[in-house]
Amino acid sequence: MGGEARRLDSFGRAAVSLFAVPPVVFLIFAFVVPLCVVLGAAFLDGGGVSVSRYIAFFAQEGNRTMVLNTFVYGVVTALVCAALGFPLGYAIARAGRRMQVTLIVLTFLPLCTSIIVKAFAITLILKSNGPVNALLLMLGVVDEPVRLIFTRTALFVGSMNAFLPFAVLPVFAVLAERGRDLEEAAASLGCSPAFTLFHVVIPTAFPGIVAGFSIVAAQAISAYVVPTLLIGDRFRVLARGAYDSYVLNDRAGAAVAATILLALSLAVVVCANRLSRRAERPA
Amino acid sequence: MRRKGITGIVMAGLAAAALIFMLAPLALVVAVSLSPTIGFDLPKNGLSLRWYFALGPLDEFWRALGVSLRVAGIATVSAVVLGTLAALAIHFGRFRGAEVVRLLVLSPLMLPGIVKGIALLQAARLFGVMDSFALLLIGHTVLAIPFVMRTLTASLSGIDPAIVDAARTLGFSYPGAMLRIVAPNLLPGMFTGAVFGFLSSFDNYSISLFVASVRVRPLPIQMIQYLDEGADPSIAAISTALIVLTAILLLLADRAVGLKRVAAG
Repeated sequence: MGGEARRLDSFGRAAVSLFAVPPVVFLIFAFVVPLCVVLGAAFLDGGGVSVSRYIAFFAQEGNRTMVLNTFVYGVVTALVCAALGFPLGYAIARAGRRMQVTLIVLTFLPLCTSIIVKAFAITLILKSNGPVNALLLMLGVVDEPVRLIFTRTALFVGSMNAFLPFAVLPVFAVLAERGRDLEEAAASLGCSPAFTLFHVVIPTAFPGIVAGFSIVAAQAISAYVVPTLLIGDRFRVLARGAYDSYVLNDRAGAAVAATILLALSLAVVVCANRLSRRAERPA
Repeated sequence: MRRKGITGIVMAGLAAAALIFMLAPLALVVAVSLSPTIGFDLPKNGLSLRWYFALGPLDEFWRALGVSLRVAGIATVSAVVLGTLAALAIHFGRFRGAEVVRLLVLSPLMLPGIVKGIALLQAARLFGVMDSFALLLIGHTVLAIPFVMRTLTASLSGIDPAIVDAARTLGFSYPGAMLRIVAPNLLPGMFTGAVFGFLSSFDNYSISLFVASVRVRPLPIQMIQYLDEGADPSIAAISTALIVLTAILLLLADRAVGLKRVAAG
């Protein structure tokens, strides 16, 4: 290849690098600038940077409850989803070829279904003449239909249902490539299936379990539709608070709630990743 | 093959329970949409398409569907163009800050939807942009770009950048090599990214909640209103249609690159 062609190639590469300009410019205007505007609305007060709005925010007991609610709701939902998602992700990773494709499609369907549809479906399941009440009556657990909708039970069961698919595929992604040999080695060495599960499978799958936890936690912490439809104002969360501030035209209040929500979700995700990395390091 | 013991049975049972737990509500919605009665019941005496026909004269539903389809369609095309440009630049280009560009393009995925919505609205007010449709388009394009970028990065990881040099020595021009050698390998990834981008826009409520107006209102926002008002089972018919649409798009994506690759990526 002559020098001229090589010069042309470096020209080509430089030209391809320029492809980055339109997406970067678009994202700066459509994403970075708006974020800065929100941060400004939250932190700029009378010409200077100040946390006075946050102090005022946390001074109200209702707001403190809202932050605590959001945190507990996000973490509990994510923990249960990670625990329930693991067996299914593991089963998909070890299924036969045809079965595996079917299971993956069946997991993607609820994953991609509109969250509003899923929340609506939960209200159908939990309503007083719905299947859950019918089952409870039939089993004799209750004598008359119990009100399930607009309770915390409804909120948590519904959220686990809505977010569970997000905790399944990360486990599959990790176990699809790794662990099979180790499991077979453990089995041929005479380890019991329970021993293999706790000492081989779970440690191997751990990064996937944590990834699932993080995705669910981030989504649950910022969830608006599921809490609104399944419990309403009996259990206020930050996303709802931010929206209410917006409806009241309280620009700074919405920005403060949004930034707290953002900080909360980043904190949970970062802590989970730390945990995962520490677990991966050999003791 | 292997003795699985109680552990294996418990694990398989939990997996089956999780799968049923995820799918049962969707099945219930489909069943309710086919029930002839008004009380959101399971069909007892035969099936009926009554709630589907009830959608016919529901003007605000069709208007909302039109808004959603237009916004998702245009946002997806924009996202595919912008996401493809970014992915190509990062994979084949040589420039400082490629990692920053990658983070910038993927970061909307990590930011809570409500925060994106509030941010877009407040910036729009500040700069005097009041057109709901334009704001929906901008917000949903931001939302969809990471999906395109992610699936394309997976497709590109299979392509050695040296393949372009090889094509050059065979007499292709640089743009010709990109177009003839690289682009055909990217089409399935672009399509799958487009499917997930489209669904993310079509189902989005968190951005639309803030920038939609009474006249320009996408379907999810209309559905939230129906549910607030305590609608009739037509909402189950709409939901069933959405589930079917999602299933069709997923099967197409599975044909294009295989959902297994998407899941494992």
